[in-house]
Amino acid sequence: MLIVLAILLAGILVGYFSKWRLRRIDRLIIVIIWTLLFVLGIEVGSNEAIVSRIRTIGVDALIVTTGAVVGSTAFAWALWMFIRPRTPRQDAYKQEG
Amino acid sequence: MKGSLIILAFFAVGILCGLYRWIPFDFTAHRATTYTLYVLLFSVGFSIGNDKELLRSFRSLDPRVMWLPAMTIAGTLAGCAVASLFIPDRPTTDVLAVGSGLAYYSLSSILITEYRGVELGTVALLANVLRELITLLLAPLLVRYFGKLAPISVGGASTIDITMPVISRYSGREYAVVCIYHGIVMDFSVPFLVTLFCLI
Repeated sequence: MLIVLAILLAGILVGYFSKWRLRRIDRLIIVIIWTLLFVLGIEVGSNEAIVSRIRTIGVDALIVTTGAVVGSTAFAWALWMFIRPRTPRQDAYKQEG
Repeated sequence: MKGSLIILAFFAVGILCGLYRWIPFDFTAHRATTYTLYVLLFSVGFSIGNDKELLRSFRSLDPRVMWLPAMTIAGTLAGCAVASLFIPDRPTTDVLAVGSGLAYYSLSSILITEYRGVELGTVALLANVLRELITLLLAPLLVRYFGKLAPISVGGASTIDITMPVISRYSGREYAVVCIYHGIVMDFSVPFLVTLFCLI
């Protein structure tokens, strides 16, 4: 399904060279997202296989999220430890801002 | 926060419509959703390419922070690979596809539904909404124990909109630029990674 990436790239190129302003396209994006999630909701609600397995689905989602959060935290921490020595001490005081 | 609640409300109303058959029309049988998805992808691309301010703010970044999106993706995939050991009845690639949503729940759940069916799409929606909520709730703790980059990584694609205010509050205002840069790279990576893991 290279078509997905081709469409995304086409959008970036057209967006870059277009004179059209950003705000209108953001409205369009949010309305499309509402529509598609509404349709996804209908598919989920009318699908008995999902409705009857909703607990398993919830637990699986929780496990995946836990993995994603722990993994990304660990890697971001590693980068932070690598970067921090060169960062001046003073930014410890800026935290309350 | 309000934006994500509205999105969830649309999803919830859709579920009710599906459960009680309020709409006498079978959406799944139509290609309309596929084309609507293409319009969405084009629009997402357009908004990335269109914002010239963003390109300018990239140049003021600490070059080492440029690596953060790579760390986020590598960390997420590593964590999800481990998580898949606890979900034996799903293939590892499915779990990685869900994780590749990087908190961009709207786009990832729609894409995964398209590729792998509505069941895995629902897992993706829940998992990625949860990731955004966790970022909002845990940002202060993440900063305290794991440094100022941690909430940005956990926030994934949401750092460009919903979680940015919270992160700039706890990591510092100068990290708002990092949030934007990070969010853009995530926005672009999600369709790529999800497609990759769905088709392997």
